[in-house]
Amino acid sequence: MSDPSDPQTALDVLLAGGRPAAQALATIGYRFVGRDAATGEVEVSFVATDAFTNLAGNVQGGFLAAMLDAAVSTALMATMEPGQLAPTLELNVSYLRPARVGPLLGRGRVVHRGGSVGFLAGELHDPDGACVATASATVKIVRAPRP
Amino acid sequence: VSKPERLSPARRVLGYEQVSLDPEAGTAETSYDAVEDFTNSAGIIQGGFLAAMLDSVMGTALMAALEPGTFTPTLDLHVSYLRPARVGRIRAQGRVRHRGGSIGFVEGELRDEAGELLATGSATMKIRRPRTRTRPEPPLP
Repeated sequence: MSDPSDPQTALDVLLAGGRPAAQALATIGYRFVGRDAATGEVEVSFVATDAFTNLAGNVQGGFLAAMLDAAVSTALMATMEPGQLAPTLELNVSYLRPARVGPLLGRGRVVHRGGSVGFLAGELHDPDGACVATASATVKIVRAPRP
Repeated sequence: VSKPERLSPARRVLGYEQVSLDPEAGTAETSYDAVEDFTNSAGIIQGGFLAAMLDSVMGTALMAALEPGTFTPTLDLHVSYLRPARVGRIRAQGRVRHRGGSIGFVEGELRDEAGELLATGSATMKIRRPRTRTRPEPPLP
């Protein structure tokens, strides 16, 4: 990442805490792990808590959707200017296996980016490396209203 | 008449309340609390938490006519985000489109308190029945 005092991308702003903190990210235990400069793929980590479980004791699918949304958005934010936002239009999640309480690793990448629309994809893995869910998302790229 | 049920931790976090249930029609109405903890940096509810609400209401609709002890793990979830959702009460409706022996297809929608449509969803869920079946369920459309 670049100098946090001179943010080049929307991701720099997020990681520097320059905008009001996204409470949703704190709720799902979001942490930025790294970005592959060559491929643009990002790694982020999450913590699934007992509060996210269903009666079977597995993590409810919507909370995994929240993590996947955050993972794929992170990949896009590295390509966006500070001050741009990317609200999600569509999110599709496939649940491959049950996810348990504990840490989860997310991967996100930009499949295609036009001027105002982005197509994103990502996966969530458990600590054993098994893929628990995959996602694709379509987002709109807009300029944030001035504070 | 709503049957008493144990609330999962996920539903407690979402502020789940059952409003109505129609097992014959395969429909459910529930409501949720979109709180500050679910907001992104623009102050809008992050889409995943709306997905969680849709997953919940669609699961309620599918389980309405299934015997107690049946679980309906989600296989696939698709959400369209129509309008930004703000902090406040969210009203949800779920409807079973088709229920086979081991798979259910469900739809759902979320509205704000003014009745504006915020998001729509569809899901494919597996029907995992308890080991001993006590009674067959009535057919659904």
